[in-house]
Order: sequence, then structure tokens, then C-alpha cells
Amino acid sequence: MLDHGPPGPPSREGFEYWVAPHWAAMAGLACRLASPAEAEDIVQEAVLLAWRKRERFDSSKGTARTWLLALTADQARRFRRRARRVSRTFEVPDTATHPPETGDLDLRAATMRLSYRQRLAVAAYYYLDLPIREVAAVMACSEGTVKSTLADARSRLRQLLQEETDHA
Amino acid sequence: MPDDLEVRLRADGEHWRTTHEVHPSLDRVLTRSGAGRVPSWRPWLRVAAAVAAVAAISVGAFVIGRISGDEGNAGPAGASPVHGSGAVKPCDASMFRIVDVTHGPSTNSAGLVIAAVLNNTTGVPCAMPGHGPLARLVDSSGSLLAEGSDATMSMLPDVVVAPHSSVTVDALWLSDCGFKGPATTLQLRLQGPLAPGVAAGRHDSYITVSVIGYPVPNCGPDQQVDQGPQVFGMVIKR
Repeated sequence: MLDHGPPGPPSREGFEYWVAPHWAAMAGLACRLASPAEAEDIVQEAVLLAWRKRERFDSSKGTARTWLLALTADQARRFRRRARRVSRTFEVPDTATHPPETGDLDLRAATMRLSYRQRLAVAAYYYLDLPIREVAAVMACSEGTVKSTLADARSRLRQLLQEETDHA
Repeated sequence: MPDDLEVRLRADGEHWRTTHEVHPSLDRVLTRSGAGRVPSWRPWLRVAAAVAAVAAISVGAFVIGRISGDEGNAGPAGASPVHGSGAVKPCDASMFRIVDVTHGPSTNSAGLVIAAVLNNTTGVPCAMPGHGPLARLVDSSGSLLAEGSDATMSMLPDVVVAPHSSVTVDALWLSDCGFKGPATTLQLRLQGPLAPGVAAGRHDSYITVSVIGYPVPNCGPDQQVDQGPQVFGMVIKR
């Protein structure tokens, strides 16, 4: 995916066009990190945050896409924390729904059981097809950490998928 | 257990990207016909609308600053301005459902505060104008009692109300005993500023909050009702 627009923070008038090319990726990432109902709020919160902090965007530190995805991931993390607090308070069972899935269903189910950072790494690398350096920018960590997180995620996925096979 | 886990992940990722797998509700919120496309994806809402619209995320609320004679403009809290008024159409009262109306004690001898929580029930964002008078007072027959300079209203920046989001509008009415009887209605106008001298009756969009039984302190007996402060009859009118 191309990173559209000139370098530097977006102007007030050009913000729409600056964010638009990355809207789908933000939505997709939110869907993979949270429930569909939460995804809407997550994306909106991320866009709001991007609007408020647009002057802080520094193109020398990363692309618009990675910056926006990082905001999205951060909002998703906050929503998860909030959801856990609500669940503990009201003893609401975790009935978060997920998009109708096709394809590799057991792989998807296993992915949702990863830790947040592992799931983020997997979503960014495999589903958003971001290169390692951009995944690192989204996750605010080094490329080495991304690689090790992905390795851990795959190890955990193998374990989860093996458990499902054993129980089948 | 397959050794080709990474192959599965890549294949599934590619499948996910090519089948436009977005939850329907998210797609409904984020799409608008004719908005232009990101290749291979459905049309998306103009982000300008979403950007400013997120000012009213979930049950967002903002408080209009109050201006009243010598008082300064308190300014809104938590509102996000639109980036450009041309990008989003103005709000129309028919888009909104009043989900709650509260009233507060007057802040001076002849004041009334109405706070209406309005929910944008449509899938389209709209811009709520922040400048100019926002309310007018009409009696039970619909006759205009006061507006504009007669009703010192709060000012706010333009904000955009996101689809299916709520916004709270405070209207501070500082008319000098403008309420006349039980059916006096406070209308919150949502379209554009009212230019001075423009006659009432032009086609504007209003949300009508009927304030019934509200005692107006320091007004004459013919302008004061006996019941305690109550709010009834929330009506949305064009």
C-alpha cells in the first residue's frame, strides 16, 4: 500500500485526504484486535486522536500509515482494558463477537487466543502485509522485537492448533 | 500439526485482504456512496466527517459556553471542530432523536437551562453550527416570542455529529420572562446562523423541546406557571 500525501503533518484542510488511504487498514486492524462493535469506536477514537495530534506527526520517524495504525492499536489496547474492567465489575461473560469468518477458521480462532502484542504483530505482518520495519513502527519496538514476537506467536499458535487437533 | 504454519498465515492474510472482510456494521458506519474508493475496498466515509464527527463518539457530550451580557464565552468542553464546513452537510432536525432532556436551575433571575441529548440516528454525519443564535422561543400557537438578541444563547464552535452518536446541546435562555404559560416551547435550531432581521418562518430545522410548567422567577404572574420544573413533549420538527 502506498503512503499518500506529502511529508510532514497534515494540514487542517487536507487531513481527510491524508487519512483516507489508510482508513481501510485501520479498520481492518481494529477488527482483528477487538470485537466488531468495539472496532467502530476504536477507529473513530484513533482518527480523533490523529486529528488532535496531527501536528505531532513526524515523517522522519515513520509513515502516516504506521503512525495511524499505531494509534489504532493503542486504542484497541485501551478498549480491551476497559472491557476487562467492565467484565470484572459486572461479571459479564466475554461474549464479544467477531466478524463472520471464512477460510482458515481454526487458525483464526487460535490467533484470537494470542496475547495482545502477539496478535498485533500477527495482524500487522500477515494480515495487513506490513514489512517488519513498519510493524516495528506500529508496535513502537525494534525490528528484532517484532521478529521475536512473531516467532513466539507462531510457537503459541502451533501449540494451540495442536491442542485442537488432540481434542478433535 | 502442519509445518507450514507461516504459509497458512500468509494465505489466510491474503484471503482476508482480498475478500474485503470487514464487519458489516463497521462497513455501514464507514461507507458512503460516492465517497471515492480505496482500491479493492468499498467506498469509505469522507474522513473529514469522521474526524470531526468523533467529537461525539459514543455518548459524547460538550457544553456550550455561555454568553450572557457581561459574561464571557465559557467555551465548549470536549468538542472537536470541523475542519471545513463545506465537507459535511448541516444537521437537520429530522436526523435526530432526543434521548434525554434535562433542565437546570436558572443562573440568573430569568434564566433557563435546557440540556438536550440528541442522537444522530442516521448513517450520515452532519455539522452542527456553532455560531449565531441557537434557539428561539415560540408559544403554543407557534408564534415567535423571541430569538436572536432577545435570547442570549450559548455559542459553540461548529462540531460534527457522527452517525449514531450523541451530542448534548445546552441552551441557556436568558430571556426576560419570555415563557408564557404551560406550552411555551424552546426550540433548538440546527441550521446555520439566523441573520439579524430575518423573519421567523423561514424554512429552518428545529428540535423542539417543550418546557411545560417551568416557573420563571421574577416574572409577572401572567408569565409564571405554578408547577415545578418539568420537561415534556420532545418533538422534532422541520
